[in-house]
Amino acid sequence: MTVRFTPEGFELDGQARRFVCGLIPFTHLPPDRWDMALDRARELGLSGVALDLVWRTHERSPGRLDLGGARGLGRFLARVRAHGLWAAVRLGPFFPAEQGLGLPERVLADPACQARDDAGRPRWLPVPWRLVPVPALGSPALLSALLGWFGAAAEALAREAHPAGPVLALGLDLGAADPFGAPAAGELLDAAARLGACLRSRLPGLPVLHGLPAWMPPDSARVLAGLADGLGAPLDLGRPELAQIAARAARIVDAGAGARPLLGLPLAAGCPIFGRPRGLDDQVFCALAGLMHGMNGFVLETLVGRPGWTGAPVRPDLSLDAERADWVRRTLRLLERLSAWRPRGSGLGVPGGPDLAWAWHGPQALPDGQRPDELGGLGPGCLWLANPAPGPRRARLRLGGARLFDLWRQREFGGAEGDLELAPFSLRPLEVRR
Amino acid sequence: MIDPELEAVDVHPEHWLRLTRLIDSLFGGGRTIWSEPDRLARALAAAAPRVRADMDPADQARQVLAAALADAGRTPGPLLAAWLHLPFGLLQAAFDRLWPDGTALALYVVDEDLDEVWSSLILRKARGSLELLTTDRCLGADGLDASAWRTDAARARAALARRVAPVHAACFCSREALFAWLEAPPGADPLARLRAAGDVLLEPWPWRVAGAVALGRALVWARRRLRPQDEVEHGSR
Repeated sequence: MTVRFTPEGFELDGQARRFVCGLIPFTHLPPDRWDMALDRARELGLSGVALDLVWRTHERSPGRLDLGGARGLGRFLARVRAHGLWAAVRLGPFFPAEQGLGLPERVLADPACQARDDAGRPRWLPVPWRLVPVPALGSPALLSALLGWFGAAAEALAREAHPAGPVLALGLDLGAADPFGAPAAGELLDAAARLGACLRSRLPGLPVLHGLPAWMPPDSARVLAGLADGLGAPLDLGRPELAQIAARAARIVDAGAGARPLLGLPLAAGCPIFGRPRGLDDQVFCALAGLMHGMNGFVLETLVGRPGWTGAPVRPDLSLDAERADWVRRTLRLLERLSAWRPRGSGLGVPGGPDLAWAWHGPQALPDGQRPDELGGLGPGCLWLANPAPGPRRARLRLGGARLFDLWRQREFGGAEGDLELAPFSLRPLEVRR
Repeated sequence: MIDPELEAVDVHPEHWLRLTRLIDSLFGGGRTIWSEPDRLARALAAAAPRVRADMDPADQARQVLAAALADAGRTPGPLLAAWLHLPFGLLQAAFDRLWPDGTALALYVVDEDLDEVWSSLILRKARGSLELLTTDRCLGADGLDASAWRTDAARARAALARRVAPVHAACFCSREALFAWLEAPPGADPLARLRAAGDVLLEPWPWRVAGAVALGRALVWARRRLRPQDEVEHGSR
């Protein structure tokens, strides 16, 4: 394999790189704007782009796929390469912010592909802008259909894979199929194994990254980590979900993926207006919290705005949102600087990992539904997140925490004091208490 | 009532965030469903017998909302109960009487301290359904001049008519006027005073829309009486 994930990112032909990229919704952009979108990615300091291959978008009529043509995948990837960027292709197959979860209508409507409740009725899932039947991961009909789609997508990607093309990694995420119902982990693992094998057999040498569903039990998460070349947890969260950032980091580590975590896959850059609204303050918060918890790479979702989304650093007309563009640049600079003191193989909760404690002071002492004792919390007024593993690095990393905040607050990066409002919250390094 | 392929374009992030936070603080929607995934999961499961794929999304949503309220042990007020339990055909008919196809609704709230649009929302209806959701950003350089919004409103309305659809109802107001109106107790509706002072411009403002807005305000107040601990957040900048 010429691409290999490491604690610091990935190695490409022996050279270390960071896995930092931004999602460009290329099918929503006219082809004559692709170059400008890719210019924006470079302008913001990204080395790669992510793109979604959405089955629903590419199935022009029932059973007939169109991945080529003037607006096609190959032409976009050729432009990616011409701009000196690499690409990560996310194959889903479930995209919660897409219409119909990204599945063709005929698949959604097929009773053989639907999850059922105890009374035999379809279960439902909210997607833009309606409820759709939950796809049944354990359904042979659905799995067969998904394998057909993956096979066709892999065939189209074969010409674009490194070293002939710019595609360096593939993304597979099954957790969105049923975020509320938590399907049997065995069904998800079986589907992940078969879909992953389909990709590996057709695209040998390309690493497959898996998204780790938040609901997955630890034993199953370890199995999933074993199926993946890299394991990622999303940080598309907001301040009220603070506790989940630590929980997701811990889950990645617990899954045994400490050597290849990709916390921040994706990292909220824009947000679908269908979901919980996110502001710039949420984005800053997630980026800082992710960095403090060992985030070593991310996919900005979405780099370029698209219909139904808001808050992306690059607007749909490809002009820059100055504040959000600044947020991306700062996050990238911090990621580079922090690597110098980040322990190798770091992760929250592992010996030798970062020993961080920080507090959030705000009008809401704790996010809804979170109990202080689940978080090492000390009561209302502040929220503590601490590495439960003992280690000698505590003092140094406490300093690191302070430094992180200072770095963000522009001193070392030439911004003016107060040019980014952090008033809704503050981050402070605090001593770990056990 | 809602097109499943509703287009949401040119949505200004801050306008959307402020508006949704305001609505959340008024109605507690986030606390009821969104902030508690388990509750949403339970509501989706409880609503399953009454949901069909071919339903209007608004009808699907009210089934889930009814289940969520039942799960939370909350009794809806009379207006919300009517929305939840009346036949959907009646609601659709009322919606069509209230808002003709091929027209737009517009809301502009201006922060006069900063001379900027604090929030905006522009909606278009076609074939009985809401089909476009956008904000002032859809007008680009022709957007409302916040520093002279009282005199510029008519031009912005005309621009909306050209770019989106003829405006069926429009409200332009200052942020202070919006909150003064929302916070005034029932029976002390300051709308007439605010209009006279020029802090609220309602043009056009058909009587059916006026009636629906008054009912909506009554609904907000009914909910606030039920939850006196909640305060209306003025939103963040």
